[in-house]
Amino acid sequence: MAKKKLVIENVTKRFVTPKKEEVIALQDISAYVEESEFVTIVGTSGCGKSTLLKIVAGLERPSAGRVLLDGHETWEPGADRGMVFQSYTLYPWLTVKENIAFGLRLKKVPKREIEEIVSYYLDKVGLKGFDNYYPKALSGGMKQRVAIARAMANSPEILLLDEPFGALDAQTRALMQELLLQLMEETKMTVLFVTHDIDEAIFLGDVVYVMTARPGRIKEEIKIDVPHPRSPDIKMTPMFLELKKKVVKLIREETIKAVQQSLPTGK
Amino acid sequence: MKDKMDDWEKEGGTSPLPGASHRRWSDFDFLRPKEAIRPRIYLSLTAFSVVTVLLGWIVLTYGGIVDEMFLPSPTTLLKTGWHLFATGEIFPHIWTSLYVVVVGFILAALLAVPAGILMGSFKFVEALIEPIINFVRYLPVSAMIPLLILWIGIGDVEKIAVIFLGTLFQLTFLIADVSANVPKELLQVAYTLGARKRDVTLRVLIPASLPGIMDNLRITMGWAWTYLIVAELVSAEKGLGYMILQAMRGMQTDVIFVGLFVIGLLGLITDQSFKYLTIWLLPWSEKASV
Repeated sequence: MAKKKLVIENVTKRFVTPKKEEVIALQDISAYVEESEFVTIVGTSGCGKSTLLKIVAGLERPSAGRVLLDGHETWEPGADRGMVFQSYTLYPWLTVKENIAFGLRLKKVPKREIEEIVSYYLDKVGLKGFDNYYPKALSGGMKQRVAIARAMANSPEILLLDEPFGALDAQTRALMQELLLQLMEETKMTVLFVTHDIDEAIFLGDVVYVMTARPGRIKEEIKIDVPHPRSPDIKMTPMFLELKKKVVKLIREETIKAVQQSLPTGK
Repeated sequence: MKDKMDDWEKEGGTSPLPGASHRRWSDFDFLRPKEAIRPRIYLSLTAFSVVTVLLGWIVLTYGGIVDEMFLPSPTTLLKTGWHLFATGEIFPHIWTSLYVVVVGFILAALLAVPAGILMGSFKFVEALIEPIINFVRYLPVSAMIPLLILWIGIGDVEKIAVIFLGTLFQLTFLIADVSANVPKELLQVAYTLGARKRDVTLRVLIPASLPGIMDNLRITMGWAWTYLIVAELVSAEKGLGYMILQAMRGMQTDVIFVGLFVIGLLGLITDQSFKYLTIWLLPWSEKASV
């Protein structure tokens, strides 16, 4: 059995609203990602999946439980857990090249080496020749490709992706999924990917965790036994559709619950 | 003006509306909100309003309807203007005013920019200085002029202090807002790339605030001019405000008008300088467009 790269152990997150009500965002979540595995977490909006990813990244603290990377408990954010956000987070004052080099410069990697790494990843994400563009000249899809390159160039132990294609149109999104899958098949990077898009979760994931509505818990862990390399055609196969049916049903129950929770109770 | 032309072209110019080939864009559809109009009509309307004002001025003055003492005619104004510049009489006033505004403003900016960045992003700084700033911000600086005269006298230093105090608190508050509005994700992503707190402040928070800082410097510079003239009207020995006040005492309406034009022109020049400074220094900014 492959090594467990990332372990999420009984993570709970509570917070207090400005109205002094206690909300449980995540309840007793346990999950793991094996070395070179692509794990996706799918859930309805507001189920706390982004919070979970931020806890893994070290950007937020769990109220209970812990996160282990290579067997060591993590406390703070660090370069070992690279992250890509849904919102565009390229630095507008840096060119594409400088954005990708951001983490490498912090690590004081020699200039020559930075050049090599940057041009390697620029090529990988299909943006050769855009080295000196400022982000304002790029489309949404291109921005996210640079953001992925920036996170990968830093060679993190695990890549955390928080709905990175959520703001893109359907066509661009499909292309980006293929690009990302291909990249990961090539580089064997370990990935934890959060989304509300069921197709995306199944198409990309080796394992899909389905989350419940608030308080977020793991409802089901589904292994996706579709061999790599995967082509987009698999989205039409009976096996894929069967899996999709299953996840849709699970998510639907949760969405209904979430809607009922948000309705006034009439007190 | 150029945008208006672009709008017109973007929206298809004179091409017929889709699905209604017999209909055309009306040339006189002025009452539809936010709709582009023909560039020719746009320019004509602009020309019309400028010409009307000029014509009104000409008729009122040359027609003898208003006394020269209240409203000088265009020729008098040009003559007086020429005289003030040719003899060099106006230059000491311009230099004094410019010097006071620039020094006062730069001093305020040197303090307000770092203070604002810190106040917007560090809760402990906010707790320390926000209550004070929020109180002083609503004190009109003109109300402090008598106090400043008592403390400092009526020289340039007093007027520099007026500009300084008048802009410092406003600017700090505005820049705090800019700094507070830097998206948190920009900082968070830096941490996941291995940045420490120091890097996040120096390499992310500050550069991300720059376009907003330039914007607010530009706005506050306009206020600095207003405060200067107020200060000079109260007490001065030189400066454009002083020149206007002296002209009033001598019933020289023409000199007052020349003074107003010069003040307006200087304001316009400083404003444009900030605009081009942004394009030059922050070419990456969304705001850096001509």
